[in-house]
Amino acid sequence: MELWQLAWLVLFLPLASFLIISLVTLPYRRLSGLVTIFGIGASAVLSIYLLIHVLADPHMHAYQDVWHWLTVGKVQIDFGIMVDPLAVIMMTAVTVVSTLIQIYSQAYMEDDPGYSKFFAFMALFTFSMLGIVLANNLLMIYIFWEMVGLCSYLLIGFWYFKPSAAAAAKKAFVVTRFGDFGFLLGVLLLFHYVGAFAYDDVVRVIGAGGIPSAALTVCAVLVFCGAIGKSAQFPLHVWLPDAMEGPTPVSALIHAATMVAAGVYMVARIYGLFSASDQAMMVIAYIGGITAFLAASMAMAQSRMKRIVAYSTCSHLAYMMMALGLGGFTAGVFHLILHCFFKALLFLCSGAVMYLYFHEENIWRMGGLYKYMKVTAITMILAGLSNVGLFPFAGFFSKDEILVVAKEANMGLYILGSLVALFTAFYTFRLIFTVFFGPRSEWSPVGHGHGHGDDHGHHELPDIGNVRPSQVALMEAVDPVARAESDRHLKKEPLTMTIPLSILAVFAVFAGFWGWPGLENGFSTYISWGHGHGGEHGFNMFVAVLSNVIVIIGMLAAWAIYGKRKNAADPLSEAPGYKYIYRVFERKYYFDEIYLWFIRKIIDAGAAVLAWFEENVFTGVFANGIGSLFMEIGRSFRLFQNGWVQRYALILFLGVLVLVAILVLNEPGLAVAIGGVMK
Amino acid sequence: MSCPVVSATVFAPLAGAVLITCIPAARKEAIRWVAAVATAVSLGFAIYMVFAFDLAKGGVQFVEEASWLPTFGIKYFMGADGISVMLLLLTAIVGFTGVFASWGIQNRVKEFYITFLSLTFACAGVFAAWDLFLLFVFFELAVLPKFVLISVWGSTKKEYAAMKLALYLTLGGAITMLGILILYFTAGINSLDLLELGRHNFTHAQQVWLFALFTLGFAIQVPIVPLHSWLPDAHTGAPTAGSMILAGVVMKLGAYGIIRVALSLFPEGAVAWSYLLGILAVICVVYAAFVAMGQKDLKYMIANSSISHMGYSTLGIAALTLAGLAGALFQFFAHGIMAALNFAIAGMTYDRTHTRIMAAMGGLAKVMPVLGVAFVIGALASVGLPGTASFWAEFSVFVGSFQIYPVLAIIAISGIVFTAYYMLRAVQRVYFEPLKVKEFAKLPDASWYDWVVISVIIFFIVAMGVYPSLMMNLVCSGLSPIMNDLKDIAPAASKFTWLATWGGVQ
Amino acid sequence: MVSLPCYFGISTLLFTIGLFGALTKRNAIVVLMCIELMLNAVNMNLVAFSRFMDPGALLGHLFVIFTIAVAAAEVAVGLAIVIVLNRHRDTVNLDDFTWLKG
Repeated sequence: MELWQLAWLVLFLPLASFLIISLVTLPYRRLSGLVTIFGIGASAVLSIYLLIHVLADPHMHAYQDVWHWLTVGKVQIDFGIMVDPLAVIMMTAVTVVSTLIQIYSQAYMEDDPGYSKFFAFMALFTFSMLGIVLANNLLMIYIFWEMVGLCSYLLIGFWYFKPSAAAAAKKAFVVTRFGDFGFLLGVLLLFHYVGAFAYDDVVRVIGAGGIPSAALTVCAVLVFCGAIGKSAQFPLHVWLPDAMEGPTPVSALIHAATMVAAGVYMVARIYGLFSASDQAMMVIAYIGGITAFLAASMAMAQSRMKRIVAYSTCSHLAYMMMALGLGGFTAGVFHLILHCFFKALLFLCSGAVMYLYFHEENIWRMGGLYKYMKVTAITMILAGLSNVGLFPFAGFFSKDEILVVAKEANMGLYILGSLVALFTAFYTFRLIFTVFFGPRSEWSPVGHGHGHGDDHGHHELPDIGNVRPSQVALMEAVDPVARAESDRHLKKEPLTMTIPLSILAVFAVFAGFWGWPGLENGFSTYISWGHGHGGEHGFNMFVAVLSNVIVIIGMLAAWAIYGKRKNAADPLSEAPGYKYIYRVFERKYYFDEIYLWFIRKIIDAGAAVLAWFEENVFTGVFANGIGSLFMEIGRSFRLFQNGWVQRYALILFLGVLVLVAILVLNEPGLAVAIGGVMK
Repeated sequence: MSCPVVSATVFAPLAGAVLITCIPAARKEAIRWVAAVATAVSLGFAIYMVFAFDLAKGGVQFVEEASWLPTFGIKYFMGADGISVMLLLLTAIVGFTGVFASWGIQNRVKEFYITFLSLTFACAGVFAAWDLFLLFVFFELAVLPKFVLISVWGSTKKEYAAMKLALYLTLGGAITMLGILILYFTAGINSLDLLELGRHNFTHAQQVWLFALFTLGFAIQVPIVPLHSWLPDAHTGAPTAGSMILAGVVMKLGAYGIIRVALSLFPEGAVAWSYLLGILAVICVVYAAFVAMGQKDLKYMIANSSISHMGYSTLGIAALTLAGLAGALFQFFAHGIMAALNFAIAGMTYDRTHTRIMAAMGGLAKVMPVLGVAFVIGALASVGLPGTASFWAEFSVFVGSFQIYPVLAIIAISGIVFTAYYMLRAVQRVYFEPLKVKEFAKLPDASWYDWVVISVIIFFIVAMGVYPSLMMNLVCSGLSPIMNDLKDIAPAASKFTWLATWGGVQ
Repeated sequence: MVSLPCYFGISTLLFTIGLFGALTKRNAIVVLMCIELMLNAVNMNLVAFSRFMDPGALLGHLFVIFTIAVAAAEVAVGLAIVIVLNRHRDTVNLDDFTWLKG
């Protein structure tokens, strides 16, 4: 067996976990959790093993292993994997992050009734993502693309009995399906020109000039639609904040290593297609730039912890898209890998805060939490520093590369990117300062009715309220004096949480050094596109210093506004002049409202009109109308039916006479014949 | 021919029905088990055929021939090519699960199973008949049990629905009969053997008009908009097993007729009408999807979504490419089992809640997790998710039709978004969200016979989703004679002039 | 020798009497008798034609025997119906039986 065939094992171990849990261990909670951890953990170990081999051989050829799946005439569909440095690095990031998230989930989901189900779905999710990573052809990536959509549907809607979660799951699936619609068209169009689905064939045909350039642009943009949907890029980014309705580990998995990363990964994977069309690259770059700005600005005005992080994800992904669109292949992919780690960490820290703090999500009800959860706070600050891209944390290196690329390729986008960096620093530390420092808010976790925390999952019926058993003791703690009492009830940070957090923190801090400019066998040795352009971009002292200055300005601004805040609300929300802009950010530029209006007024109304048409025109006029026409005719003939048999006989006789008369009149010969007989 | 496999598959349900007539009506359990065994035998033979079919040889296998009405050249000619094998399996699956889906029926059990088994028998017969007259006999034979099933064991507006169905389908039958007569006399070879007729050369004009006539007759059963009005009422009015077999098998009879009779015998006619057929197909897909979206009643929604899904089949047929036709046929199978599952779950839900209005349910997944999971799987199959059989069917149709009618295909593909929207909204309304009605909190989850239905169908959905080659190879084998006929007359594949010129400008 | 038109005259007469009775009489038994009359008129025609057109063939005779047999069966059924009607309704007046009115 060849070494690289281990990749099959990496791919199928999580699927095996899923099958084992759903068919066998569903009733045994602990066992199910362990099955997933070991399944994905084994994948992670194998991935690292493969990664070591990749590192030893920087110029390895892409290894492909194809299993024939289906033939319909000339359409041949294969199930194949492609192992090259890009795939192995991504695979390692996915499996490692996923494993850590599974360990973390042991604590986070501990008293959820759907514990086993949760781990089954997580394993399936990881499998689907690995499928995207390893796929060697377009159709396979599309298949796993949809599988990821399915898993996100199942996991976002994990607490399906919450109306918001049920709606968010549907929204995520349908919105991303819009993107998939374009993706599928792109795949079909490419197939029309190429006659095959494999990446190699696509690239070969493009290289041979087999696709007219306009068609190539159309193909590339259509395929990119899929990435827009999955990676939550403008204008299909609306599902992402709602997706926070899922349990936090899900958010971490979806928004760090898997679903949203899939879009960026896909662009990188089929870079040969995109880079062949300048127009398509421009579309990607600008979509990225716009999304980065929109998402970062929205993140500055959110008050729910996970949503801030979610918008941050969206903004970072857009950054990667921008880099890829501008030709910064290495920079984009590097940011993708690093982002896996620090964003997963950021999510898991948020989850830990919520887990420890009565499943509260509103940051204005927090404050001064540092002393209660030191590990979480420290790791979160590290993740934040990486997130904003401050030297020497991991995020800096990839962000810097992206900015260098942008500055060389497109000044407008460079300025936009720097502005986004400023926003990022501001909202990240707005979150950290508000949650961990400053005064404790006057809120206490008592009787806040139908909150929006994660905790519904722990009850049989949601309308009982969202109070957990541990909270019952706090029900009386209404006044600040009793708060000290309630603080004693804050849980201790469990080891199953702190260990994954610490491991991720190590990555979030140090992983960036792999991309140290000029490093021998650095990241760009393995991941680069073509020669020269798109490969490693030089280090630019001006860009690096400026970006750090910007970040520090952002952090200081956050400190000035939030570090010493007094009340439990955002001071900016009432700032004169700014408050209107704040409102726009807070309401997410009214995208949801506009889309909702479109769905309600156009789609649903159209459906209602057609349903009416069906009922009244097709059934009413067509079917019943024709039916009643015949019924009316029948009704008028009914009058002949008077029941007198002799009358019928009379009519019958008259009828015979008439027939005979007609016969005789029409056939003169007949009369002659009869006459002849008579003689 | 050692064992008449095809006849065994077809007649096993009928034998069951005859046996049931001998059982006293009070012994319900015995009646049910006889029905179950009869359909299981049929299923067993069908599965055997799938594996015994010699792909290398192709053509019609398991042939059984006997003279029937020699004066008119009518024969008892049963056999199976790849397509028949697949559809016989479909019929057997739906028949088998239908028996279990109706386990809870208490009213006139004996008569119910007799009717149901006769229906299964007639449907299976259509797929196995290779004599046009025999095919027509089975085709018409299927109408009567449907009428009885709906009018006796149905719900809401059942008499209306039954009458409407019978009138529409007999109208289709009448048109088909007319077609058969014209065909018989124009061919003038004193035979209605489909294989012999296939070798006969019809003139171009004959092909064009006979294709139109047959397709019109069969289109009512598919159904193709605007001839679809019978379907939502009938599917909704029918009892669970009735809806299952209506959506799962009966709809396919019409589309099968189009392929087996109209397309096989009159390929030139098919080419002449294909564009119109394609347009109608796309109207089916989009129009029915929107109508489904506007429904409040769960079963009406599923019924309309069936029309929409059969639109994909019609589009695949209209494309006249191997991928399109294979996708269309695979869609028969995929949609057949998926619709059976959806109707089964809708029926089970209705049996428990006694309402079909989606807004009146909600949160049922908490109470009935098994049914909830099955419903989600059914909805996802409907959406055409990879890993379910429907994905391959739809994808193949898209590949096949995109090359021929890019614009129509694009409109049809947009259907995947609408389907996702209304199917998942239904899931959300019925099974997700908090429990709305307190009385529903104690509803029982799936009983053992529900489990049989759910697990058998889901097994086939997933198995065909993961390993589609099994069916696809059968279908392609069955399609090869048709593709041979089409080879010389089908329009050139590329209609991408709009893109090509665009590319040329730059 | 009696010519063919003579037979026709008689059979026409018989048929007309039968028809008149069948259409106007109220008593069901009389109506049945009138129908028999009409059948016999036809029988006569058949025999006459057979005799004059193709004397050797006896085809018409064959038909007549058939008709007589069928008529006998018909009368049996008809009378049975009349008896049942009489039992249920105490009358054989045809005007009272208009149940098939639409």
